[in-house]
Amino acid sequence: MALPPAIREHLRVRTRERELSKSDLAALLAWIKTDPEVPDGPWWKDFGSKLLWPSWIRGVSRHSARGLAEAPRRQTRVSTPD
Amino acid sequence: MLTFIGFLEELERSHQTVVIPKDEVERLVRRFGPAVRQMGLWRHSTDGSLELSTSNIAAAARLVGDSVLTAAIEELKSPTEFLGVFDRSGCATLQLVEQLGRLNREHFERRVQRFQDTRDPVEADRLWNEISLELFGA
Repeated sequence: MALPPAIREHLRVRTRERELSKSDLAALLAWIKTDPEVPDGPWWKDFGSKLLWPSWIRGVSRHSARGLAEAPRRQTRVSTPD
Repeated sequence: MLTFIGFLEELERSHQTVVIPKDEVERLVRRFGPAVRQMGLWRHSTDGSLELSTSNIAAAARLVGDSVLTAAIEELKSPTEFLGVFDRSGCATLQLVEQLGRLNREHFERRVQRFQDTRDPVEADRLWNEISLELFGA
């Protein structure tokens, strides 16, 4: 998954500052490992904690962020497959 | 002669892994479901292989017990390609897969916890690289 360095750094800092918990990251990891199908258009997934995983950047299917932006209303919410 | 616990400790110290190639991973997923990928490090953005810790495999085998392990081996050796929904309820392999997934998740969470707790920036960088590898495959 080719994520922009800024997004990775954002995730690292949020985790280091404990704004994202070990359970948040484990939930994200478990979801990635289901190899989920996502819509062609913009989408987002709310993990119910402080973790939001939207696709804003073309060519990047998934990234995590909090505080970068709100999930736009026109995006499709991706449900949890498990 | 090595004792059982000594053997497990040796596995833990050696950090040995088993790598399942992509084709085999996908065959196991078709048969036992996506939980298969939870068993270890899934290199989803590179070669699609799955890397399992041998110490986790030994621990999972110990947790499920001899009879389930024996049944799981028989199931894995069976040429059946698909499990029906009803077949999965008593599937020994799924019990083994679930234990491996749980152990791997606990290991990942401990690594994140250490990343949050450490005051050593070098260790923090190393731990984040490992976490990043799990999450993003590179």
